[in-house]
Amino acid sequence: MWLTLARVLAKEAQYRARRRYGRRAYRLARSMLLSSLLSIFMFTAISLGLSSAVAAVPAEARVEASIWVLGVLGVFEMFIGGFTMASTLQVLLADRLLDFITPLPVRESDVRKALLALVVIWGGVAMLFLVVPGAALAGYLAGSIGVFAGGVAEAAFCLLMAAGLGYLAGSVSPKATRRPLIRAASTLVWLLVFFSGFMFNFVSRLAERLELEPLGPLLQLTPPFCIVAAGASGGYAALSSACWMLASLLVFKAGARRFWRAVAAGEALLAAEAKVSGWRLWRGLLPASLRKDLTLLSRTPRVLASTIGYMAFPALYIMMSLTEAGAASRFMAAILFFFGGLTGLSAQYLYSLEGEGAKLLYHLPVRRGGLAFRKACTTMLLLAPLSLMVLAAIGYFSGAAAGLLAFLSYMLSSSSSALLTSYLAAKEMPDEPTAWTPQTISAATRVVVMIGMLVLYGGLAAALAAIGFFISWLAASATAALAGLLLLAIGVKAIKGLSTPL
Amino acid sequence: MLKYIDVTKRYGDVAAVNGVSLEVEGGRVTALLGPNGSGKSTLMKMAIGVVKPDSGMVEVDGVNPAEDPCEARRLIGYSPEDVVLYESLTPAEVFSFLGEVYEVPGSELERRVRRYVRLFKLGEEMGKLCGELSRGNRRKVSLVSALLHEPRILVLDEPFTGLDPKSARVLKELMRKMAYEGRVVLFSTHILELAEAVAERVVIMHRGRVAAEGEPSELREELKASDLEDVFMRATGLSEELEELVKSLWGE
Ligand SMILES: Nc1ncnc2c1ncn2[C@@H]1O[C@H](COP(=O)(O)OP(=O)(O)OP(=O)(O)O)[C@@H](O)[C@H]1O
Ligand SMILES: [Mg+2]
Repeated sequence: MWLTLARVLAKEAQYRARRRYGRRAYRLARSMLLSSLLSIFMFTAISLGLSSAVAAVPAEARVEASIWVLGVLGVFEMFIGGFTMASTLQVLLADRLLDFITPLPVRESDVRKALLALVVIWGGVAMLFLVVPGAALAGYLAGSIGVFAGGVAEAAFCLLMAAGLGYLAGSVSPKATRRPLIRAASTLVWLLVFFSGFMFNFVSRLAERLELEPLGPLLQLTPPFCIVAAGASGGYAALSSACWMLASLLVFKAGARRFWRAVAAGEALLAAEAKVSGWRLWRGLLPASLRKDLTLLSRTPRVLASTIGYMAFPALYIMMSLTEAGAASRFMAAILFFFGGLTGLSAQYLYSLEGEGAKLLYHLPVRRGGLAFRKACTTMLLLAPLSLMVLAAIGYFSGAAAGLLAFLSYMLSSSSSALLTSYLAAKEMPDEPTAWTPQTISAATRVVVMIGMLVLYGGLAAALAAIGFFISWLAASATAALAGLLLLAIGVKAIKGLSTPL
Repeated sequence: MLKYIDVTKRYGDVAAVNGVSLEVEGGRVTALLGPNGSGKSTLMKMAIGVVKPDSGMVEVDGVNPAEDPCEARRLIGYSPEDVVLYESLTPAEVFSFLGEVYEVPGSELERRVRRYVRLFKLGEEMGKLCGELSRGNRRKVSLVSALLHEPRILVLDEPFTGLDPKSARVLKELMRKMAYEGRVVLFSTHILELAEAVAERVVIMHRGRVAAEGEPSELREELKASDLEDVFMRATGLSEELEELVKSLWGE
């Protein structure tokens, strides 16, 4: 039963993807599998790369080092897995893929199994590859089967925990569009989930500083490190592992049940909310189309969090690197240019933000170019406070002249990237409204936009770094501003040329 | 005027619309009838250029929606059979957004929205999110959205679905008045009494073709039918089939 259900759901999701891509269907129908393969490849590389560090440790300390490395990989798996899972479930909810199942006489346990199977197909399996190859390598290097077995068990239970957490997060946000407190709270949760990816960086840096030496017994008891420790030596770690495994099982069960309830309750939960009397049309200087995006954003916690994350991370990075050197340093122009370009990428989120409403756009006299321009404007509006922060930081650490030039290149690069991203996203919107789903647009933009933009801004930044290194910061800054201006002009021209209607 | 010239649209092997030529002129309400899947919605979508014909041409006051959908959409007020709205915006917010899209000045927009809110009794719904609205109220919001820019041509796909009797009455009068003002009013429905009551002209589609068209009374005479239902059955060749079906249902 549950296998049939999973197959139906997967078919439905795939069918939507196919409608989205029309004639290119055959190539992209396999994109789910392809992206799974891609992540498996990537995760295996990360896993092997990190665990090869075990080889650098003297033979007698290798088991301890394995515990460290595999534990960190397990944490990584949990967070990435949780995030992936939560976004997938969100799409399922937002797309109402499950609506047709709820009234059927299907047992809840079957739906749960089907959902799990689906999530496993959609990249859950790939998560295992973060830990398992590393466990194999570390086990080999340390000469311990226990390390390998522990690593495999750790991978499995981290996935279970991740799935449970993903269920919880995925079921919290969809109905949280109205009550401001819940909205704020779920934005916070999403932000945490989003930033947890960056935490990995932090953890691994910490590991470097600790040099793996003083591996206290405490760590051996801390999940998920304890599972590998238990595999290697048993003892108290085994007890702690058992508790952790039980906890993962419980979290998974609770999460799945909660999610299912959210699905089953669906609209009933929404309708129960308080009535609001009185209404007003939007007035004022802010155009209604920008206001619409901002309002939608404030009511869609997941997208809000992703957008803030996307915008804040590069800005934070800029400020962090500013404290070490002023704007007059050699590589500053390259850093500002590259991360400015990154912030502009957040424009793509404003497209998935449209949700069901995107279908309405296809009935209106809206041209793709106009849409692209408005979305870019909203992005820049959202970026304004962060840009001011960057300006203040630059101004503080470097003189007025150098600071102004640096800030100019940052602004130009971020706004040109917003324009170009928005242009690509608008161009990538499907030809038919029936083909629209938030997932298909973000999948398309992710592939096309991200790679293209990263190559463009990364390449230019590399050139700027070279100029800064071989000539001077001033030359680099001036070139950055010029390149930004050029890209801005290209963006404006591209959007103007995009007169095809939706 | 809304004009279809030998229009065909295929989906794979299915000809959703098959060589339809049709002129829908202003001044009277036209009803589009036909069994499920006969191509009504496809025909209507061609008017705003979301669906482009494989062959033939559509003209919307001289504009070809396949070439310039934006201009066609400015001339047309379209309400789809499946209501699409921004689920997490309120109707008031949706209308504000549409006001900008259709370039209706602020004060004028305010006046029109107030008028339609009063007509359709939407007052209490204006502050709720569209995702929270009942089906009928969603339909009303969609209808108001189609009327906000006071279009010369109205294309409404099953506009009465889900409406309560009072709102249905309001919509009927609105359509009549719009037609009286010389506008083109085309709507599709499965409720034949409704078509008989509102429309001065009916077009019956069957398998992507126009099976019959004309004034209801004309059609009755022509097909020697007792009422519009009979006209419908005869035009679509369903009369005999229907008798068979009814017999088999009762097990005779
Ligand atoms: N996007 C699509 N893809 C494939 N086939 C389609 C699509 N849209 C419509 N069709 C087919 O075209 C035919 C006509 O559909 P259409 O929606 O126009 O019928 P209709 O007269 O509006 O029916 P109903 O009364 O049920 O609304 C049907 O056979 C339908 O299956
Ligand atoms: Mg239809």
